[in-house]
Amino acid sequence: MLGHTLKSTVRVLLRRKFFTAVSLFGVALTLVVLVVAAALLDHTFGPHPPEVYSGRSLGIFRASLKGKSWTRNGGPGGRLLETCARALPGAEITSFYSAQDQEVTYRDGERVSLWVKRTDGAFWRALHFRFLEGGPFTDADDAAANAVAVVNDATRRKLFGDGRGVGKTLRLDGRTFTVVGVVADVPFLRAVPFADVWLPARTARSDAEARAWVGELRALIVARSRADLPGIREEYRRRVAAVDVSAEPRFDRLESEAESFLEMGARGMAGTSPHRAALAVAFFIALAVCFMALPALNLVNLALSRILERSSEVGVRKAFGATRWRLVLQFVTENVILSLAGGALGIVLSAGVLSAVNQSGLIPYAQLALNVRVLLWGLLATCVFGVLSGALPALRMSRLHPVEALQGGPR
Amino acid sequence: MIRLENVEKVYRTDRIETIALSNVSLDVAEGEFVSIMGPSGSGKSTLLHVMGLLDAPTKGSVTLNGRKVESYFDAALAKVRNAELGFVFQTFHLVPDLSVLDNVEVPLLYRGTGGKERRKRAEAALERVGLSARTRHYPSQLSGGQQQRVAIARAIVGAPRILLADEPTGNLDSATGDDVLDLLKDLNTRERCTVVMVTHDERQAAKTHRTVRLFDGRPVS
Ligand SMILES: Nc1ncnc2c1ncn2[C@@H]1O[C@H](COP(=O)(O)OP(=O)(O)O)[C@@H](O)[C@H]1O
Ligand SMILES: [Mg+2]
Repeated sequence: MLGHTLKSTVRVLLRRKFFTAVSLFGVALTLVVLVVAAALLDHTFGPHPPEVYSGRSLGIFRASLKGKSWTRNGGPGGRLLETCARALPGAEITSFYSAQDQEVTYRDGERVSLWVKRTDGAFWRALHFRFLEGGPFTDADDAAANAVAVVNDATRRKLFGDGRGVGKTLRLDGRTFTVVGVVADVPFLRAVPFADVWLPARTARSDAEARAWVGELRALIVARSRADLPGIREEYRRRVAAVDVSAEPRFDRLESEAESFLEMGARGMAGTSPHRAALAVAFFIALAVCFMALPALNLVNLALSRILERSSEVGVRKAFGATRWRLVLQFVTENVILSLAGGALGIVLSAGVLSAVNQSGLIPYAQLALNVRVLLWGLLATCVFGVLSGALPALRMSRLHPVEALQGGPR
Repeated sequence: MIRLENVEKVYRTDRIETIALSNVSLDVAEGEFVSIMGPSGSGKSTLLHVMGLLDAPTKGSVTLNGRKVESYFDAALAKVRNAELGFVFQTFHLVPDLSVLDNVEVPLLYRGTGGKERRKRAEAALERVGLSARTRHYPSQLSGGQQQRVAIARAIVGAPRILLADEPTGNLDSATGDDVLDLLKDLNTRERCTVVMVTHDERQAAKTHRTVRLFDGRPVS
């Protein structure tokens, strides 16, 4: 039966080349967009090294000082983190680091612009970078403000050519740093680990950041287990609420939360709602569904025209003993085959697009990958597509009275 | 074999009521070859459709092989059509996207016959109608007469007891038409198929056992 349907499907699709091309292209294009979007989201928020603990991590990315008519928004400052984020109960690793900043160095008189993060020693325990040479700097290096640096592979190549990086020096911010480690490139969109150069926090020339409530620092907290996350959020909120900022002119209260990376990412879309991560996910799913509705409708239309012109076939098959459901099955199978072919094309195209994005440098150090999860979802979407777009015309056609069908379709 | 009792068929569209068949009672015996004649619009096709369970009568009853058709549910009808009936149409109605062999296999598909067996029986049916050499062709590559032979092969592949043919030679030139009629006649005598055929051709009707004449939905004699 399947063999029979397969043969006839191939024949039908080849006979109507234009229709087939439009359908294939519609499905493929939709899939490409979905797969690329999914790859981007996964690339940004998925659990990939160096963020090996992302399932049980929280971050502190924002803080606000508020007064009657003034608000100062930013990241948490050193004072806030030292006061409220140290030794939270249930936290296994607590790291404070600065948001990356663009700084300039020179190689043979040529300007090289680099993204620099200042971190503590815990940073390297909370995130597992792949070291190509040497190793991380330590808490002791940070405490002593040793002029040491970890650079990524791209920076090593830019500054030192093909040679080794460890032991070489680079000048940043008026100081000379010695490279102690080289790590594999981390994608730009991985906001927490990303940088070109990592320096000990205390090598910063000014300690203004350390004294501020609101500044440009970040905290990364790895909990002992997922179950500890709510307690950590709660305790941090409690401590922040208890901070006395009455010494600050114009401000009377401080606001800051520990949040997941997805929640941070969702902030732009869903504001500060406590359900912002779920809202963002729902939004993306709704977007994907709407996005798929158009080509699905188009497919329904095309399938309808393809099936309607075959009313004589419906009549004949009914006359020779096909039940209604047999016909529905046949037409739906046809459409699923078409959609799967479109899906296969879409996956090939997606792989091409992803590798093109990776190579284009559009997103620095991007490693967008066609992962299995995205692939399976794509495949599922394709099948749903096929069934949905085939079912409607199939149901309509199969309802035809056999005599009407033989005489050329519905009246 | 086929018994119609007081069959009436009325088509209702918006305001018009067409009485296509009125009070038709008819018996076709096993092994009989019956022709149906009548002017256009006299209800010949409708009569054949009612006999073939493609259409339900408005009133009256249909009995096939001694079993009265009580319910006109899709699945039950499909089964009876598949097992007991074979249709031949004026415009052949071959599926253009299937090869000759696959077209002939269609009825067997709906009774769950395995692929090898289907092939074997479809080839035998095509041999019976003298078309063994064309099994890989597609309908559009065949002449009208050849297409109608394929249609007949399809109608007999499931070895039904009853063949219903609605102007099977209506689209063929007279020589080819005679060949097709001879084929039907041969099936009737050799395989003891009961055949009911609609025709416009007195010459062909004369070759059948008996002719039923319809006028305005009523049999006249
Ligand atoms: N589906 C239908 N709806 C309405 N009227 C129909 C339909 N089918 C047939 N008729 C009418 O029923 C009558 C008999 O038609 P038909 O059986 O096709 O005649 P024949 O085959 O003898 O030419 C005609 O008047 C035709 O117009
Ligand atoms: Mg007719």
